[in-house]
Amino acid sequence: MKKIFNLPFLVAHLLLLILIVTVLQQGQKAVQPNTAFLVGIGLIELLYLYKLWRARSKEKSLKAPSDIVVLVWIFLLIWEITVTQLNIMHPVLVPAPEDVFHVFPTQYRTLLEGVVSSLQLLLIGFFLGLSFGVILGLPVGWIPRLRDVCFPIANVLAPIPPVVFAPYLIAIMPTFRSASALVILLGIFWPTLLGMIIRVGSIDRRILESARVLNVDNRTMVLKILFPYVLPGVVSGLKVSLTTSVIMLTFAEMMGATKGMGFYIINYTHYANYTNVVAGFIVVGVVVTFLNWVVGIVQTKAIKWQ
Amino acid sequence: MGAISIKELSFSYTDHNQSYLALDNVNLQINDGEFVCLIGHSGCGKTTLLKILAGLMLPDKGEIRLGDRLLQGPGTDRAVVFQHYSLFPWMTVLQNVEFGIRQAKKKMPKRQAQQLALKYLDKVGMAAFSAKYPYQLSGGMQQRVAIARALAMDAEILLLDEPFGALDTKRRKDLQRLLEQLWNNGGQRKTVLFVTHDIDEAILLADRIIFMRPGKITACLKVPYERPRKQEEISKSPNYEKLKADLQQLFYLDSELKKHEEDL
Ligand SMILES: Nc1ncnc2c1ncn2[C@@H]1O[C@H](COP(=O)(O)OP(=O)(O)OP(=O)(O)O)[C@@H](O)[C@H]1O
Ligand SMILES: [Mg+2]
Repeated sequence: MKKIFNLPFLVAHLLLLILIVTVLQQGQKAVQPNTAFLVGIGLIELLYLYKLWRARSKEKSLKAPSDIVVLVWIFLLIWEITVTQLNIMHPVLVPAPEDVFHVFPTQYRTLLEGVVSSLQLLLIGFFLGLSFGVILGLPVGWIPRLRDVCFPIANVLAPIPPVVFAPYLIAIMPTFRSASALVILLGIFWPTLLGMIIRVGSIDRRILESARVLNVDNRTMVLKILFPYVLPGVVSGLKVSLTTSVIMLTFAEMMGATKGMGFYIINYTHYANYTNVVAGFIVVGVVVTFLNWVVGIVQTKAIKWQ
Repeated sequence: MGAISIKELSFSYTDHNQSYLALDNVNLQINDGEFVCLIGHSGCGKTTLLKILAGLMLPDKGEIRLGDRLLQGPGTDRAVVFQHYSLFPWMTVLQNVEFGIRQAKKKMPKRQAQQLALKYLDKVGMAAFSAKYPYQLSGGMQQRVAIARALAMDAEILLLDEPFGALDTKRRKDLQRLLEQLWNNGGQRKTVLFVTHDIDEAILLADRIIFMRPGKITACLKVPYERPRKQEEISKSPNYEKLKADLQQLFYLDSELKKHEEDL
């Protein structure tokens, strides 16, 4: 059994105490009620305790969660003291933490709608791009004649960053949503296709030979041999593909959407309402972290044979 | 049906514009139902010959017939066990064997194929591991599964590249007996080409032992003993020592020649 009540743990909770006491003080700057901020601090503390508990049962280092949370508390303390308590920061550019956290309970409807709208686009583009890439990549990689035609073409088209033709796609596609889904799709499709062609082309010779002496036809080859062979590569590339899609999405949304996370942020940037902008950052961060967490679970569960 | 006829076969590997003649004008007749062992130094072309017979590589020159058909590519009339483990890592032990069976016998129902797979896994002592994935097995265990897969396909021709190399003495003995029995096939003998480095194993199993030097077949010895053979019985018979000495001589002679060449 490892000790939970070690030094970093005590430091973290001392800082937490100081932070809460500071927040409860009346500062120099007039701010929104501090309830939401305190709830936010409480949630971070809960997450931290959960991570500690998980780390203890998994024989992982107990120090890392404490170290991280110490940094978080220090950051929030500085933010709180410089802005709310002493009011020495730029009044418009650096919003108070109370104000930023107050956005969540008051605008949660708009934020939630934005998140849902963005996630729809993201998932559609992501899964279509990934599926097309894999489904086309396997036969193209396997059949030499197809490969010799498609590989050079893909090599030329793949490196063009989709953000470059995003404005054009938004102009020619009937709706904005279809355009941004297409931008994400293309951003995922080309790298996936290239990756599949290369991976199929470099398949382990021993596996290939055992398949060939069993006289498998092209269909069985693609479905029963090549697909499971490339699957770990696809799964391990999921996080990168996901990050790419998020970048593509927020970019597309900043270009011309009327809702979504990217729109929310760019819209309030135009109004110089940086309180909402920072709240938007936090929402994007939380959503992306959540998606990455889901992908991580998929990665550990998907491949049983390694 | 299972006869193999190799005429004036040549094959060279080419990489980076360098060509290496791995088989040089090889001629070999293997009769239907004959058990042939192939021995020779490492790198003399045994695996190359086997891969060509498996249909994985096309010869540069010469022709190969299986029965009266020209060899044109891979086929399930031949079952192959490679020198290196060759299971599909994403299939369980059972699925690997079942996949082989269903490739050879497309019409066999899934359940029946599974039962047959289990039967052969049992014969090689791997039935208890049927739900495991290859990465969970030792090298020798993987090789036994590969052997089970090849044998379960019930092909007319078996091409085996040092299949027992990674096994301990007892397993090796068991599998030698199993192979002899499956080869015999109740009198309907299969044709076997078996690569080994073990002279005792070759004498125990083969009707004929072929000796290779780099790129060429240089000797061919008949093994006269009655079947089924027992190691203890044949090692007592009068000409066993001579046969063994002859084979050892071949290995020895070869290294002598090499040494001589190097000296020059
Ligand atoms: N893929 C390849 N590319 C180029 N040369 C090769 C290749 N495979 C084998 N060779 C060469 O061909 C020759 C014969 O190789 P082969 O694998 O047939 O030997 P072997 O008799 O099976 O040896 P071992 O007993 O060690 O398995 C060797 O000299 C080797 O260097
Ligand atoms: Mg070899």
